[in-house]
Amino acid sequence: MTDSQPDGSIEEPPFSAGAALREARARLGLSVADVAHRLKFAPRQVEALEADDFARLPEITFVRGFVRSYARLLQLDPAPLLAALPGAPVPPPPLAARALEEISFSSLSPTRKPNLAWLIAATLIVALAAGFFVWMRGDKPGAPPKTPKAMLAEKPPAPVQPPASAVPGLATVAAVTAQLQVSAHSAPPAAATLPQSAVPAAAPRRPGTIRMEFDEESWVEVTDREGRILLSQVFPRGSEQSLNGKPPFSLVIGRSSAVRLTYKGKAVDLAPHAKAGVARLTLE
Amino acid sequence: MFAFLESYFSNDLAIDLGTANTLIWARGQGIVLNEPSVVAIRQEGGPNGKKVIQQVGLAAKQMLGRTPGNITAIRPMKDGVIADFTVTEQMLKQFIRRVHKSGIFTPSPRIVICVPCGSTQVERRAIRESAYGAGARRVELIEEPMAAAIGAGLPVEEATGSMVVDIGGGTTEVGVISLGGAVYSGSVRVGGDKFDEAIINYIRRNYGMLIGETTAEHIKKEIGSAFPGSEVREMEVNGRNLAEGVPRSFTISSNEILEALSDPLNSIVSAVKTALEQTPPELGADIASKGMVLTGGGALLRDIDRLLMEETGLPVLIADDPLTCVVRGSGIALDRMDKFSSIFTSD
Repeated sequence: MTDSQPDGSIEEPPFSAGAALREARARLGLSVADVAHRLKFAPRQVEALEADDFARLPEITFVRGFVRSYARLLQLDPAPLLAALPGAPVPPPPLAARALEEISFSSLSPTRKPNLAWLIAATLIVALAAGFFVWMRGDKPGAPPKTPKAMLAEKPPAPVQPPASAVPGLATVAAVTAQLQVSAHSAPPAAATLPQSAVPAAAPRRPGTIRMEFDEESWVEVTDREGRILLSQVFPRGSEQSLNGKPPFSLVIGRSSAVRLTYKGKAVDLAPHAKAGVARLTLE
Repeated sequence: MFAFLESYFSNDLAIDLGTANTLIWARGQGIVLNEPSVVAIRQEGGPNGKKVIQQVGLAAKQMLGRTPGNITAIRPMKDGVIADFTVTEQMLKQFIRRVHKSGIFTPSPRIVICVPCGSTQVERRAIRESAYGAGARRVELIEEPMAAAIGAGLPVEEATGSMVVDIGGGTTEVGVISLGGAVYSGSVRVGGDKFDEAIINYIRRNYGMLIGETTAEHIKKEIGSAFPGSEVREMEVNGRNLAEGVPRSFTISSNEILEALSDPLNSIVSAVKTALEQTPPELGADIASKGMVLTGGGALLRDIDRLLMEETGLPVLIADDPLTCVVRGSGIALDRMDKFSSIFTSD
């Protein structure tokens, strides 16, 4: 009542855990000895706590536990008393919930995460592959005609998805790795001893099931029923190509407007299959 | 130099792989995960089909005892150690994935993981291997009493005795610590799970009713108590009547639960008394003046401190936030890993 603030509120003395405990104990009619007996602390420690004399008490961890037990004995809420003690711990932030990803659980053997060594190994392999690619590219101009055996050895690693369009800049690259495979009965005698007969693009052409004529330079890839690549090559303007194999054939033809395709003697219109100049179709 | 870079990019983790709950503490972030150690596994396409993790953590715990034939909810930890190696590894992997973003430039985390002090070398090896399998770069093990003492804020490095009793889901660990080392450490395989089991057995024996683990845990949390108090509380429980075979409800009181829990509580009291007997007198005097500190989920059982106080005649205190003491202590140990390496176990 004596200390009135300018805004009218009354200044209260700072909240003391010890004083609050002492008052509550007196209200319940308990003596210091009773409390000491119940909490198994020495009476001097109970008195020290009520006097807020932390120097005579153990470390603050023990004091906090002491206050909690004492508050419960006196049926008080321990939270404000603990908050009034020095060194109150900071409450931890709420846990961030994250979505659970479903992972396969079929393997019974413990697995290790690929570490840095694997990353380095993968980088080396990519670098080697890039080096090989550049070397092959530099090898192209004026290269001698390749033997069928050599051409088999440089089969492209994963030729499932061909380039989206026959860009002229890429044409020379594609020509290097291009190869032609036809079925055994149509191969020339020189190549007949190979397990999968293959003839170079320059081999004498014979009329086959599929026939293509090229009005402009274009890129073609043909795969047969078993997914084998029969033909993957860039053809110059004015050339033509025939081949046989096991139907159905999957064809990807770059610059399809400049290619005339006949299958089993019938002309096939590429316009309905073309998208951005590249025709993709299957011949049954 | 590389070690410096790795520690810069990686989030080191401290894990309390408990029987009931798994907690993860990340360096600089504090506790980032607190989930029950439960995994629900779905079997796809017949008995030989592949197994897929359906849920982990809280969602899986809600499935316990309520799953159809093709889903099994498993608690892969038992008595503080691994009971199912593969499932534990997958559970850890899932938890770590939630808190540790993996990327090309993020190395695997260093992990500090706690083990019960009574675990065998084989059990420790299993925990270490499962952490490696879950993607750890380096694994350090710390004994639970030491982690609990550090987490509770006890002066472990000083020349004074500090006693900690960590009552977990599977084990109760008792440790007396001085000068950064364990003077005594003991472990009994009694904890929250044994309390639940005791309640289930009591109700079956006295009421002829069958209740599940989840219900038993709920009873323990609601009206469980370790010391007879002035207030007797009651609770209505649903279970299956063994004689009739149909669900029935009945009312159970806190005094009955106290009676049910007497056996596991006696084991804990014996472990604490054994520890006090084995403690050198100077340290015993320190403990008598400061008291022993309770941590772990078992410390939340009503009046368990009162029971230990009456049985030992010593002050018994409950730590701040007892459920997270072990993981916080492991986190502090992780922060000081380089200069504080002696507290990690070498097994």
